[in-house]
Amino acid sequence: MAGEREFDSFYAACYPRLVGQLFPITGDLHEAEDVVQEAFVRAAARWSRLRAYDLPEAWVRRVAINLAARGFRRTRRRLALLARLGPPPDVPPLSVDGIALADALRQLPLSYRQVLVLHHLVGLPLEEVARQVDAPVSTVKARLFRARAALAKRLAVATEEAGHVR
Amino acid sequence: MSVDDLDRRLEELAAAAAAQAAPPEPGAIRRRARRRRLGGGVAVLATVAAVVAAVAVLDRPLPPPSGPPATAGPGTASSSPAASSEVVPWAQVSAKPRLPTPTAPDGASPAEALTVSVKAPATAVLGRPLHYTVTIANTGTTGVPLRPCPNYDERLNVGGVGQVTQSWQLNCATVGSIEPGQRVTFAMVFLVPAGLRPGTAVLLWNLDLGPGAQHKPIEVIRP
Repeated sequence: MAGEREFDSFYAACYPRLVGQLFPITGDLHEAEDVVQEAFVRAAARWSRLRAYDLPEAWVRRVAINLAARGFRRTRRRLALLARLGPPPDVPPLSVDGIALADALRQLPLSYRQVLVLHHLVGLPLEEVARQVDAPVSTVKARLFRARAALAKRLAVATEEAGHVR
Repeated sequence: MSVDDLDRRLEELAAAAAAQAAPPEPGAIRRRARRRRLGGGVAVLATVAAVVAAVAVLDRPLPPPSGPPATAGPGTASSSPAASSEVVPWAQVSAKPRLPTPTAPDGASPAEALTVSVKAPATAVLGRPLHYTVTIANTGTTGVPLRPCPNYDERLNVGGVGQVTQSWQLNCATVGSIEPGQRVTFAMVFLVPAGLRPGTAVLLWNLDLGPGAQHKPIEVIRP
């Protein structure tokens, strides 16, 4: 029972943050939630071992990112992972800036989005990012450089287009 | 765009997504993990059950070209082709932990022969039940047993701004099995939450055994 309570606290604390981190990778809120939920189901099945980890959240994040990379949502047969009986919370939609960034991110290759999120959002050092995405540090550096350049270019175009509309 | 600017904008985007996250109850996550562990442990039993079911089907006399099968007995009236025009009423039965989908020795699932179609009204009203029907047809050559009654998921997805999923157990105790060529129609009730946002929606219905279908568009409106 203590283990269950511990898992519940861990889940409640980490779920929204992980969905926030997966959203820039998946580009779809529902898909982000699906992969995070599936990662937590796997974590629950191994909780007796995971609870001893320094950072069990890192394990869940890595599983969720791998699931997103494998197109988990597209390949799974069942539509619903869990009953979501409550209505979605009534929160304001993304800001104009947020929508532009989400759109720009969606146009980047998945490998670029992964390193951007792990390095810039999660704050992992390059060596750890390299370990997580199973690539050399030099490759991670190159992906980050290209990702930032592509993002800056796309956001500049988006801003310019928005300026014309006004 | 500077690195600091990128950090800030990514954090804002993640925070906005996190604020919209709707986590299921932690108990639901734990139950699903338990079911999965159980599923792995009883896979052999499930295979044995599938073989027994297949043998039972082969043992059964073939039905005549038309009319009800000779073996239709008490409590299985609605499983006969003659009764396929009847609609099995809906019952609010919570989804149950279940065995994995039975498979035949060659790895095929008899449920693969099932097809599903959904018939729903054009509008759904927030806070009110949406009544619709689901027809399950057996296009295969062997009967598909529905014992125990499988679970199903129904999801109303409103144009990317909100969704709600509900899971129930199919009210199929009186059906027993779906014979080759038979179609069985089930009444469904979806409890449309009052807090869902109005908009154009897709209704997705999925039987736990595998097949699923969707119906669109459904206009979700305020009362």
